[in-house]
Amino acid sequence: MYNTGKVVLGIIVFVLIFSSPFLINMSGDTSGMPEMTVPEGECLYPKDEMRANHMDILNTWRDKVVREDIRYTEINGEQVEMSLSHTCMKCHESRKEFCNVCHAYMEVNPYCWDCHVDPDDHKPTMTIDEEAAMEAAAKECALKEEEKAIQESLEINAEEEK
Amino acid sequence: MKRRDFITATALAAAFGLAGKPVYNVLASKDALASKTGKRLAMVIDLKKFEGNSEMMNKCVDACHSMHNVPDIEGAKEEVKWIWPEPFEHAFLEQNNQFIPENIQNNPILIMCNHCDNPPCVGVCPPKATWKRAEDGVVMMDWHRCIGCRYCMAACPYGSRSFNWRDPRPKIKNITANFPTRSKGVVEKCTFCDERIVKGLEPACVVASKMYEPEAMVFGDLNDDKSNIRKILSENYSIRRKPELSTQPEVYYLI
Amino acid sequence: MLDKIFTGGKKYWAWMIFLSSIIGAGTLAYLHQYEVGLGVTGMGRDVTWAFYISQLTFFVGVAASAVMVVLPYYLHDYKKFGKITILGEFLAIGAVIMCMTFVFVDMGQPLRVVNMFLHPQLTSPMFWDSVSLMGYLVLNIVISRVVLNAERNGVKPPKWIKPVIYTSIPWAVSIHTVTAFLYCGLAARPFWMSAIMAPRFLATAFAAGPALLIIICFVLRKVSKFDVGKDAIQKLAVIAAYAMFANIFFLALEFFTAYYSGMHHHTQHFQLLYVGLEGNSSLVPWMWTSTVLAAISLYILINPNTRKNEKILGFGAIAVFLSIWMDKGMGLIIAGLVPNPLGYVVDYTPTLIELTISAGIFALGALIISALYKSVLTIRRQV
Repeated sequence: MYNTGKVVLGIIVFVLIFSSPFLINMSGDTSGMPEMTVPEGECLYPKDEMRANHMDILNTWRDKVVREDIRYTEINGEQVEMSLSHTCMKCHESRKEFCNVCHAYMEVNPYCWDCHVDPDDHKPTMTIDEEAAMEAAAKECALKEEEKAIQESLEINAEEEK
Repeated sequence: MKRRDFITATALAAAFGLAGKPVYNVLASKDALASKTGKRLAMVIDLKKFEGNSEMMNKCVDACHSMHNVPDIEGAKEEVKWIWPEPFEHAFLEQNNQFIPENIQNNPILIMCNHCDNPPCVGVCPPKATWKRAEDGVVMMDWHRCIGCRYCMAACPYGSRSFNWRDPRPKIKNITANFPTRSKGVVEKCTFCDERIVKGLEPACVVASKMYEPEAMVFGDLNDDKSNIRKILSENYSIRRKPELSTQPEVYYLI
Repeated sequence: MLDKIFTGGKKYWAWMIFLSSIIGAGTLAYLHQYEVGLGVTGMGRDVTWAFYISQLTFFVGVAASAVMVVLPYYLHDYKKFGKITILGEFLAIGAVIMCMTFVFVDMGQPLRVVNMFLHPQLTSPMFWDSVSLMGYLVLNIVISRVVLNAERNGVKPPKWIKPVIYTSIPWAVSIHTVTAFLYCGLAARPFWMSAIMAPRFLATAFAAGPALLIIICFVLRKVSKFDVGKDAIQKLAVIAAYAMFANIFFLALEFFTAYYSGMHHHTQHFQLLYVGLEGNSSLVPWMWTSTVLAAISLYILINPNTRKNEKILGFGAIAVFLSIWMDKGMGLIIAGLVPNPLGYVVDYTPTLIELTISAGIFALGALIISALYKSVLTIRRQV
C-alpha cells in the first residue's frame, strides 16, 4: 500500500473528530443542562426512569391505544389512561416549559405535537373531569347529555366562525 | 447447471413461494363474511329522513369534522373529508337508473368510509398503518405509522380516503384539543368514531342526526340479533355502494 | 473498478458536472416539496399517483429489460452479446436506483419508509416490489462487479457467479410482474384490473429497454471507441421489434375486451385517453403522439431495409422508447385513476417542481450509468 503512514494518520484524525462529541461527553461535564420546572407530587414512574424511558413508555402507550384499543393501564394499583394529552399534560401543563426545555437542549425533535394539540396553544374544550362526568351522565340518561355536548360544540363553532 | 435443471429449480422455487401462508390467507378469506366472533359494527342511513333536510345533513358533517379536526380546504384537489354529501348519481353511480324518482335524484346522500368486511385498503398498506379490528370490524388507521404512499387511496373503491397534501393545521377553523390533528403526508378517513365507541358512545354523525330525527342514522352491531340495526335491516330493503366488488360495505342505505 | 470513474477527459467531466447541476436543482426542488408537502405537485385527492409512480413503473421495466441481454448471453451462449451484457446490467443498476428514488419522493412521510420493513404487510404488492427491487439491485451489483473484475484480471469469473446470474433472470421477470401486481389487483380500478397487465408490462419493458440500449450503443460509438458491433445491435432491434409487436397486440386485446363487452367502466378510461371524456381531453394529443410513434417504430423495426440501416434504426429506437414512455410513463397511471371512483373526471398536470425533481432523478440515473460505463470502457481501454 502506498502512503501507509499518511492514510493511518488520516484515519486516526477522522475517528477523533467524528467521536469528539462522545469523548467530551464522557468527561461527565453536564453543565448547561437546563433547569426544568417539575410539578409537585408523584409522577407515574420515578424521575430517573421517566427521564430515560419516557419516549419508550409513550411509544408503548401509543401502540396499545391505537392498535389494540386498550386505553387504560394499571400503574401502582391505579387505572391510568394511556394518553399524552390527558395524562402527562394534566400535571406537566406546558409543553414550552417542560418538553421543549429538555428537547431543545438535547436537540431532539419528536413529532408528537405535529398532530397532538399543544396545550399551550389550545386548552381542551372539556377538562378530563368534565369528560368523565359527561361519560357517566351519558350512560345514565342515554344520549341526552352527549347530544347536548355536541350541540354546544357546534354552537361554539358557529359563534367562533362569526 | 444444465438449462433443464435450471428451469426445474425455478419452477420449484416458484411453487414454494406460492405455498406461503399469506397467499393462502388471501385466497381463503375473500369469500368469508366478517368474523362471527366479536362485534360487527355497521350503520344504516335512511335516505327518506334526510330528504329536504340539508340542515341535518350539514350538522352531521360539521359534528364529525369539528370533533376530529378535519381541515376545511377549498377546492377539490386537496380536500380532506371524512363524511360528506354526494348526489345519488355519484354515490351510487352503477345504480343510477334512468327514470329514478326526483326525490332520490335531487337529494344528496351522506357517504363515508364503509368499514368493509373485505377492505381492499388494508391488504395493500405496506406498513400495516390501516387494518380491520377483529373485535368490532372498524377499519382503523394509525397516523403515526402511515408513510403516505397513498396505495390505500388507489385501492378504495369509494373515494373515502383523504391525503394531507400540506400541513392541515392552518386550515382547521377551531382546533378540538382532545383529538389530534394530522400532520402533512398522511392519509386519513372516518374511523366510526373509535374514540367514542370505546366509551360506549355512538359516532358523532349519528348523534348529530338524532337531534333532528330519531332513526335517520342507526349505528349498531350486526352480530347482535336483538339490535335495532338488525331489526331495521330485516324489515327494510337496503342497498350498499358497489356491492359487486365483494368488499361487503357496512354502511347500508334505505331508499 | 470504481476508481476509473474519476479519470477522464474534459468532455466527460463537463457531462458529469452538467448532470450534477440538474441533480442539485432536483434536490432543491425536493427540499421545497419536503417542507411544504406533496401539495406542490399536480396530484390531488383523485389523481393520487401520477408522474413519480409512472416513472417508477416505466423504469422498473428498463431495469428488468437487462434480462434481454443477460439471457441470450448466459443461457444460450450468444457470444455477440458478450460486450453488451455488462452495459445491460449497469443500465439495470441505474434504473433500479431511479425507481427507488421515485418511490421515495412520492412518499408523504419519507422518513417513515422504514416502517415498511419493521411492520411489513405481506399481502401488499408495494412491500414485495421494494423487496424484489432491492434484491435485483444487489444481484446486478454483485454480478457486474465480479464479472468485470475477472475480465480486468484476465481470468475466468468464479464458478459461484453462474447460479447468481441464473437467479437474476427470473428475478428480472419477477420485479416487473410484481410492479404490475401493484395495479392489476385493485377492484377499485377497472382500467388496471386486467390479467394481462404483467405480460403487457414485460412486453413494454423488453421493447423500451433494448431500444434504450441501442440508443446508448450509438452514443457510445460517438463519444468513445467502444463498439458493440453491428450484429449485437441488430439482435437488440429484433428483440425490440417482437416485444413492441407483443405490446401493441396486448393493447389491442385490452381494447377488444373493453369495447366488445361494452362495459362503460372499462371503456371510459380508453375514451379519456384517446378521444377525451366529459370535455377533458388533455391526454388525447399525448396518447396519439404515442400511437403514431408506435406505428413508425413498428414499421422501422419490422421492415428489414429500415432496420438494417443504422441511421434509421436510431430513430426507430427513439420512437419505441418515447412511445412506450408516453403510454406507460404517464397515460396508463392517470387513466387508471380518472374518472375517480365516484365518476368525476378530474385533470392532472405535473407542476414545475414535480418535473424538476423528476429531472433530478433522471440525471441521477444518467450520472450513475455514465460513471459505471466509464469504468467499463476504461478497463477495456476503449475510451
